[in-house]
Parts: sequence; structure tokens; C-alpha cells
Amino acid sequence: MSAGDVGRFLSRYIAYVALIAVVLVFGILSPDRFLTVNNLGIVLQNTAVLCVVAIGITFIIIGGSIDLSVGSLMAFSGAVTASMVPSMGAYAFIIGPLVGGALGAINGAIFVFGRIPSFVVTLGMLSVARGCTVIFTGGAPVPIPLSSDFYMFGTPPVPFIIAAISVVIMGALLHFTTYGRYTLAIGGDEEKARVLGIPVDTVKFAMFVISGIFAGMGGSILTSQLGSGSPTVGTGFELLAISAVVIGGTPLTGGTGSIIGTAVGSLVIMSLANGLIIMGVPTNVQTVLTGVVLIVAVMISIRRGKLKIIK
Amino acid sequence: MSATEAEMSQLPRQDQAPFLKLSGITKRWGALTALEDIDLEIHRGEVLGLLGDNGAGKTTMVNLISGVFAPSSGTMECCGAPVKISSPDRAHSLGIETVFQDLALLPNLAVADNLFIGRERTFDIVPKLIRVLKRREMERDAAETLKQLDIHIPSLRVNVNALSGGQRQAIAIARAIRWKANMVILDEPTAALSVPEQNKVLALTRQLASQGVAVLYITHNMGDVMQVTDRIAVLYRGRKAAEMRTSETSQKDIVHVIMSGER
Repeated sequence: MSAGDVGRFLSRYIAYVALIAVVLVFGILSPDRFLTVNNLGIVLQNTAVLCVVAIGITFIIIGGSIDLSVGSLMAFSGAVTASMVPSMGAYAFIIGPLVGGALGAINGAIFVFGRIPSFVVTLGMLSVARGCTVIFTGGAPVPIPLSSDFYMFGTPPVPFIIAAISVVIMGALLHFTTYGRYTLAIGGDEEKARVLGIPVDTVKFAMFVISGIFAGMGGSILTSQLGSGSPTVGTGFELLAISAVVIGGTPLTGGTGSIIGTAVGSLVIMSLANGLIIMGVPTNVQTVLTGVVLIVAVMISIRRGKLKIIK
Repeated sequence: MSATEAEMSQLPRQDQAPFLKLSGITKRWGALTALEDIDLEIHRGEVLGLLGDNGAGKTTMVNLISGVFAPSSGTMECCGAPVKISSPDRAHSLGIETVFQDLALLPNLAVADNLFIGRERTFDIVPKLIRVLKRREMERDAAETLKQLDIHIPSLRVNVNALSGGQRQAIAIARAIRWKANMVILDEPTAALSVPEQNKVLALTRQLASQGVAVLYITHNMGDVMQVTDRIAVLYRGRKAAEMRTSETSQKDIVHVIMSGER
């Protein structure tokens, strides 16, 4: 095996290697508390929201773009969902994906038709949606009636089931449909994809709608788990979601990737967080470590051959 | 044999009207004129060489005919009927296939994926929206196409970026051919190829023409021109400087026109 082969192997299976490493380390350091059925169940439940949101961004990153707005999209759609619970009950769950999808469509339209880099558009949306959330909620959490059916979406094992179904459906969309193939093609070489007659603009627009829908769904689940639509929820969540995607073996340069990888990447991040909490490591140190893990993952997975200039 | 049949057999096997006829085609980019007032006819079963120095407008011509962008003015006729080739899809529907100079292969996709990209075989769960790929069928089909053309690739699932230049060129040509094209545009197909690979491409080109395909062959290589083309059109600074039969001219004359724009 040459150095290049090792690099390719690592970038492809980094998520699995990292997951085994994390489980091993915490399993050895704290076997009686980390490696219990109860705790691993908690990890799975905590992973659900991250996994759902990260699946949406995976398509965007494979297509060679980026979405920084998912944290704010989650907060806004979660808050709107919470406000609808008193009148709609459990059916309010659908509001999250609808609102998220609408905001994603705005992202996509500005990106594709306004021809503005996705980085800038979604950075702007990060601020816009967060501001709208605070205005909408008046700065205070939007409570959900204590007896509502809506709580079922945050009760184990429902979040996990939603995430698992999302993985299967979106994995199939990526690997077995023209949409997935076109997303890969655009990530590989957008210009050539256009010349070959692929509807590049439509595919790119749809990527952002999908990302918005999944961010909104994450917002709905989180609202159910927290019992309210909080204006501050999901701050910095875009970093976690992007990390999950990158650790999952989808390079930020696009053109390749997998949904299952993203699910495993989410597990890595949440088990790391869970293990650190069990070990009594302060939250701020966890934040530091999350950043370190992201940089290391990019170091391993980025395809330097494709980037002429690193900027 | 009846009289009508005898008359029929005396007709050339191509349609009477040229497959593609360009009249007064002009392309401007702002103040820059890339092509000006080009008239050109391309018939089925012939290889038309398109020559010219760098910047003469060859690539612009390719892009106009393959639907990448539209002309500023002028008209096109396909088999005698006026057409507007407004998109790559429209070109495909007329049976016009292009092998681009950069090959337009997607490096991160497999060989079979590249052969079918943009025109996948699918069964549609939701028409136009959720279209499931028939991968097995496409791979079988791809294998057959490559076999017919005597192109050897280690595996159809290998990504194109793992192939050699000659293999990539072969894949790009195979993609154009497999769609039962009426016209194939080859843009510098032998550049950057080894000699045996070049010969293979030239043989493929003649094979296409003998099957009744109209071939537009863009090149810099004089050896290719003399070996493979039936007719030649020379562009000079966006205008058509000359049009001639390959058999009635010499390499020296052609070079003279390319350099000076005059016969």
C-alpha cells in the first residue's frame, strides 16, 4: 500500500476509524458509564437531530457548495413549529420542514439565480434567520402545552427512527437516482456537467431546498425534545453538521461522498461529546475539541490535487 | 428492376439536403466578433475538416452547433428544415453529438456513468423528479458499445480520472457514437495522444463517416487533415477564408490559407 492508498483509504473510511477510536478510548477510560446500553441509547437519541440536519447538507457539500445557515434555519422553523402546536397538535411537526424548505428555497434562488457564492448567501441567511427567530419569539422561548401529542417526536425511539428513515431514503436518492448522479457530476466538474446537458441550476436549487427541509425537520424534533421553540437553539450547529459530513468522508471539495458516512460522522461527534461529558470535561474544552476534530478531518479528507490554490 | 428503382439507386445515398446548413452565422461577445457571416454545409457520410489558427473561431463554431450558446445572427437548417439549436439537449435530439476538446468527461464518475450522463436509462417513480437508474442495463450496454469499438477498459466501474489520455478519448468518442448520431463533432481528437492511439481515432472517424454520419473534424494536425477529411473549411479571424476538397489541394496550400487567410 503506497502513501496515496493509505490517504484514500483514510479519507474514505475515516468516520468508521474515528468511531472505533472514540468508543475504544472512552470504553477504556470509563467502561462502567460509557459502554452501557443506557448510555449508548442516549448517544443514539442525541445523534438523531445532528444526523438529520447533516444529511441535508451532505448533498450541498457533494455538489461543491456550502450551507452555513442550518443552525438558524433550525431555530426559526422550530420556533414557528412551537407556535403552531397549540392549534395543530402533533400535525405541527410538518411545519418545521415546510418553513425550513421555504428558507432553503430562498437560499437556493439567491445562490443560483443571483449568482452569489453559496458561502456568502448562507452566511447572510445565518444572520437573517437568527434575527427573524428573535423577532418572532420576542426573545423568549415559545412554550408547548404540557399535555400535547407533539412530544412524541422527541420521545425515544422516535427521533432515532426518523433519522434512520432519512438515512435510507436520502442514501437511496444519492446512489440510485439521476438526482444523486447529477449532484456528484456537478461536484466533480460543474462546467462539463452543464455542457453535457445536466440541469445544473435546478439540481443546485433543489440541494438547498433539501437542506432547508432537513434543517426544519431537525428544528421540529429539537422543539419536541426541548419542550419549546427557543430563539438561541442551534447556535453554532452548522459547524457540528459540517463536521459530521466531513468526518463522514465527504470532502469539502465535493464530487464524492456518502449519506451513511454522514450518519457515522454524526455518531462520532455525539459520542465524543457524550464521552467528554461523562469524563467531566468542561463544555468549553469540548468546543475546542470539536474544532480540532473538524480540522483534522479536513486535513485527512481534502483532495489537494483538485485545489489549485488553497484560500 | 423498375425505372424508379434504377433512378433511386443513382441518387447519392445521403439526403439531397445537407444534414446541417449554416447561413450567415455570426457570434459577437460585446464588441468582439468571434464569428462573422459563416456559410457552411455538412453532408452525411463525409468528414469535413474545420481548420484555422488559434483564435480563428473553431471552438466557437463547435459550441454554436452543439447548443452550448446561440448565434447572434444567422440561420441553421437541419435536413432542409430551419432549426434553432438552443441547448445541448436540442442538439442531442437532432442527433448531433460532440466530443469536446477537453472531452467533457466527469472525472469523479465511472466509465459507464459517463457514457450515459444526462441521458440515463431510468424507471421513474415520480416522472422528471425521482428517476431510479437502471445501472445493470446501462453497464451491459456500455460494455457492448466498447466491445464493438474494440476499446479496452479494465472495468466499467473505474472512475475516469484513473484512465489514460487515450482511454479517455476513446470513451468520449464511444459516448458520441453510442447515441446513433447523425452528426459527430470531433474537437482536436488526436491532440495529446500516442501514435497508435491517434491511428485508432482516425480509423474510428472514417468508420463513422462510412456509416452515413456527418463528421465535423476540428484539428491543427495536417497529417490528420490529409488522411481523414473529404473537404476542408478554413477559418481566419472569424471568417471563412476558404473551402476546398482535400483531394484537390495540398498541405502547403492549406497552411498558406490558415496563415494568411487568402488562397
